Amino acid sequence: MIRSFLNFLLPDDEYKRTRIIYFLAEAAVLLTVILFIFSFFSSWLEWDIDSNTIHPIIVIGFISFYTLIRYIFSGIEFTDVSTKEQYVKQRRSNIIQASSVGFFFFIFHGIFEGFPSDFESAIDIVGPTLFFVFFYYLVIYLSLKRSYKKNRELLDD
Amino acid sequence: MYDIIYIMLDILVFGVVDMTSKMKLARIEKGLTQEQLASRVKATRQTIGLIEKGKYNPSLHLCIAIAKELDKTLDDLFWEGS
Repeated sequence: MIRSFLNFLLPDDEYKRTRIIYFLAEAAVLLTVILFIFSFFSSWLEWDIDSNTIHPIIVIGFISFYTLIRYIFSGIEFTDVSTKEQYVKQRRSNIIQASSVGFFFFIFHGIFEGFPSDFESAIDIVGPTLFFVFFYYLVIYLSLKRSYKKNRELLDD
Repeated sequence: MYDIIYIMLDILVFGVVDMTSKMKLARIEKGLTQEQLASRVKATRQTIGLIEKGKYNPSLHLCIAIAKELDKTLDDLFWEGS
């Protein structure tokens, strides 16, 4: 194994590891190209853009979002789901996982923002929590769907 | 059983066994499922499936691990035309 500080973040399986490294590298290259184009236009066309326009959150967001999307659609997350029974079981477990994560999101949100005392403030916490749970479930659902399809194709004939 | 018949038909029709079929044949001869082989070589079933379908080229490290588990040499499994 190549020595790198990234190793502790990467899975043991070499195919999965290679794919994730590719996704991260693609994100880095695309970001470099986008930033180069952006700096070219802002300096040559003398756009009046101050240095705070490219916020670090955009850079971090791009790398995370690109890597996540590629990871979901590559179907490498649920490597052992190849039968209908396993698929249904995993889907149920995904619902429980999304609900649990949503519960912790609600608790942390409540700790930092304060727990609701009236109906309006309750909506302020419940709304983002429901949105978070929906988005989280959608991500793992798509990932499961893609993994299942890929695994079916690779199943023993 | 059907796997072996299909691979034998491949040999009869095309004359040689391709690299990926050889690995699959060796695994079936050894009586292992993709999942069992995967857990023995510390990979996933998906990775074994991809190698057998010729969609992923494994590292030498993984090739050796697979060859050892299947009691074959690297030539037996991964050298074309042998």
